[in-house]
Amino acid sequence: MSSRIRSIAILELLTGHPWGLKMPEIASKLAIPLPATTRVLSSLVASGYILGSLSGKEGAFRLSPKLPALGLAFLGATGVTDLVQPILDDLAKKTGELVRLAIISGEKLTWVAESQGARSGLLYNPEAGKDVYLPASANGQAWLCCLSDDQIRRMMEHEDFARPDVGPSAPRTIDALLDAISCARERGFASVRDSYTIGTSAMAVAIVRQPGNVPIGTLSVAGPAMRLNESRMREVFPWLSASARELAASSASSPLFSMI
Amino acid sequence: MQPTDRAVSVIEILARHAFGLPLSEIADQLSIPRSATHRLLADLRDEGYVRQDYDGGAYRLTAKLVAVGYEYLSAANVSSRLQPIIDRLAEQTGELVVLAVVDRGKLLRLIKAQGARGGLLYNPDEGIEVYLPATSNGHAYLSVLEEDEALQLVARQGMNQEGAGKNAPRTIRQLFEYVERARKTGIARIFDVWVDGTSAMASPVLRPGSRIPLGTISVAGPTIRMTSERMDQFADALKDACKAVAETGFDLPIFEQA
Repeated sequence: MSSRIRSIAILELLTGHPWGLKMPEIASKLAIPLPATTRVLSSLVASGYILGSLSGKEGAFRLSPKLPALGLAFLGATGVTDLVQPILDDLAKKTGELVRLAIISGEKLTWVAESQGARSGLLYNPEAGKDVYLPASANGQAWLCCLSDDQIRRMMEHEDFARPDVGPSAPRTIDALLDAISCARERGFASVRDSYTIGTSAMAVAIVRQPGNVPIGTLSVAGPAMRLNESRMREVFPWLSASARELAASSASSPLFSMI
Repeated sequence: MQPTDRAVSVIEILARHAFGLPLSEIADQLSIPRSATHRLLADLRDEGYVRQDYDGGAYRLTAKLVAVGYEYLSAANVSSRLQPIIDRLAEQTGELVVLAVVDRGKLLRLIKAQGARGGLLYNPDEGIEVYLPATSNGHAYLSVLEEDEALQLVARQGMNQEGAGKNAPRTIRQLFEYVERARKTGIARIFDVWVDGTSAMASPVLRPGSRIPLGTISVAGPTIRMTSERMDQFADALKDACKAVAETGFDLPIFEQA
């Protein structure tokens, strides 16, 4: 990390050591010379982000509650979409495809926000504002990946697998669906092709709130099947996961996702 | 006095401006040249803390600050031990619950849970530090301090913050009438004090076996729902939550240690 933002490196290091670290440990873990470490630490102590004394040699330096409180204050100051939309826009820009966010409410998954990355040419833009048909969509399957097979069977008990408005590759039986889910669990993301809509493919991961591992929504990238193919999905996967983690973080300790 | 670290200052400035600021304004607030500000912002962008909507556009914070704070709460076992208590109280009351912690005479908001599931939601934009004279958390905190210390803390913040509600105390005497009632009942209650149309109740979290305040918990909502009768109904649940936080959390690093 650049020497201009050593303070940030120290704060980040200490988030993983809630009971603190001694100054030489901080200096050596971050490869910062001792005098510079002392200087940055004393500034962080003075501004209230770190607790600890520079006079004693043995004492540990630990975070005060100020950093997480600043995060919470920022979250309070920004509306839902102001925080969510830039994350979607970034991912859309990187992938050049349609990025969509769906939120779990009860036993439903509802599209709430999207960002179109493709600027011209072949665009995929399905209708917004409706519930996600779980078995045939990457978003639906990404959510189901978080549930047990028994839970999925129970949820799908009354599902009409024969509905006509899906693509030719949509799973037509509960067993076909469970196969797709187990495959998705293994790869780390759900993906469909010619399933929700013919000619399109999509991949999705669940947005999981910590603690408790609670799935709160799903994030997908969708586009023309010829462009968003298997090898492209593997490239996109790390970006998609990172964005999902960022969304989970911004939902943390806030009513964000229940307010949408 | 040590100057505040510039990288930290940039993050603080942008946290106050959720919609972003142009480079020139950040430079002015830091009182450093634009070139230096630009390098600093580039470093912060490389680490994922800030983003720029387009070249030459405003800089704003990403969710990383929130994520880092959250990582800390998770590593410090706050998420696993205290968040469920706060969530449960939010569910029981159907209102906004906040846990604030004492940090060297300041009260910082650390955990929030929204219990309201629709309709009128109270989700104020409140900043990091609790304003003691006009909040239920502030009154609950002051109610367990010695008078001298309480007066000092109030003097440090002043009593003139703009925008408080119509019942906000205007004098020390009025404030201490609120505080005295909170001391007697163990619960601070305010109506139209912090923001008109909202009311709130709060209780202190005390280190077990002592009168030392570790923090406070509040329940807040629209005044039409948060009536004094409803507060009576919530009183036991609030005190139980304070006790649970004290007993399961007193040894956590977020609290001042004995």
